[in-house]
Amino acid sequence: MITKLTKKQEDGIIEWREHCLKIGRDTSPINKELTETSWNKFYKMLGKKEPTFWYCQSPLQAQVVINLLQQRFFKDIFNLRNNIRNNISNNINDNIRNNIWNNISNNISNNINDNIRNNINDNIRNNIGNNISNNIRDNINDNISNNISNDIRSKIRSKIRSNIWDNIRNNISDNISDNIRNNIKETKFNYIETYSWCQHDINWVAYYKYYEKYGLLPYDRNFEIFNIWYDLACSCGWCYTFENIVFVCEKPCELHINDEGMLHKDGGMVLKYSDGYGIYMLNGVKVPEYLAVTPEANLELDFFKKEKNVDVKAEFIRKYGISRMKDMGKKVDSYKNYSHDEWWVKSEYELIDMSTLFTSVKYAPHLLMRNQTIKELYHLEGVGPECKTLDQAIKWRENTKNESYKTISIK
Amino acid sequence: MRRKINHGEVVLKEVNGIPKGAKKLLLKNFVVVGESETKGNNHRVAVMDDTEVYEENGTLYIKNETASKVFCPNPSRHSEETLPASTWKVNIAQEFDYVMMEKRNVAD
Repeated sequence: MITKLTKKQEDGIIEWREHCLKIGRDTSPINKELTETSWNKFYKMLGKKEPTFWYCQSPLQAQVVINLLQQRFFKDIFNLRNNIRNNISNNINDNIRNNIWNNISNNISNNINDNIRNNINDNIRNNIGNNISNNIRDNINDNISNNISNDIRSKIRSKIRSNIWDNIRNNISDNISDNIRNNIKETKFNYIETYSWCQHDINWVAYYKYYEKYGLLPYDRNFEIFNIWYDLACSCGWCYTFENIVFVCEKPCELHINDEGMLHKDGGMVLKYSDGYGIYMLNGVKVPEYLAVTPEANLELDFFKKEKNVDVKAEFIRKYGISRMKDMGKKVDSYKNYSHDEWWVKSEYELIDMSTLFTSVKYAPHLLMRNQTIKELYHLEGVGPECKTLDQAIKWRENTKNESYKTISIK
Repeated sequence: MRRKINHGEVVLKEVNGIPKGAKKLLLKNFVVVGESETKGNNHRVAVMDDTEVYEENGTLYIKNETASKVFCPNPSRHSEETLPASTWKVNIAQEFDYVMMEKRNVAD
């Protein structure tokens, strides 16, 4: 049982993490030779014939191509994603995980997990993978249930560590707004579930590869399969695997992050594919194109008034400027008038009348709050027109009426 | 004085007990206390062996014998915080829309 890492192994945690983050954010062209060799190996393992390869510029293009081919040419095309995941990935996960439990002490395993798996998961899967996936769902019908049965989904969930799978599932399902659902219903396309994220599979491949690369585990032939996943992560974007054909997507040709590693691009697409498909994000928040590309001086307050998402509104305030925003209104009450609650001070609560933004309203009180996790971020939320003081406004927002509570934390 | 915790739009208020007639929910790992209607980054409370979750008329109640935690899958906007041992009612903050002239739950 290994209970202490060597210096090389200790240093390797960050070194390997950074290396894998670069893989997940890579914008280089596809390595076609390595892609095809890797998939051929997987198909051979499954007893399948070597597939042909169809290269697409983006996942969106792949979805359209697959839908058109299915509708017009080969309706019986069989998607191999379950075969590949269940027969290769999940079994390997179980075997390697047991190997780790038997050989590595808990504290070392957790340390590696925190530093490599979770960090890369946050930076690649959450930042990049899910945002691409969700945006494609914005464009094409979300019809996962047509492609994958509930029991198989449950089985897959139980086999893959819950934190990653929960992130994927929740991020995917919750990112589809009602309006988008209505639009999607009108399309005739099915959403094709992606199970081979290749470049963005690096979040879980990295974790297991670390144990092999830094010699923490005895030889395990299953690592040969991890190495194929790793080669795919290095060589191509998302892939859609079918009986005789694999649709291979390019990696993004542009990808921008801020100092915190969150997807961020003020002035254009944060992530772009060579066919022009891409998404807009500011500080990790998916925003409408208007907010991302419009220079701050030209931003119209009408956007703020109509936007319903608090995170998007907060990004509007950040870009527009909190001082400029406050100057549009009239301060009614301030945390400076009170001393009974430290959280009022930390949150810099102010009640501001923003009626100048609304043509038919004489009084429009808004509660200004500083975000306690991102200090440079402010939220400005409307409260009921009957609110004349901060106390009334906060009680109205939290629906506490005449009850009194001591705030113990705000995040 | 009773306590409260704010986690984004989620407000956890300390209450004296679980309402009679509330239905006990059998959950593992966590309970979603604030849906993310548009972004997928919902708010959760960790469910441990001594955590009980109840629901009455769409309102969640949490009874935890030991400290639990409130968190989001992606903590970049709202970092994790401790939920002290007690009984809590889950509320969602509301806001007033001066374009539509109506109040609604805060959504992220």
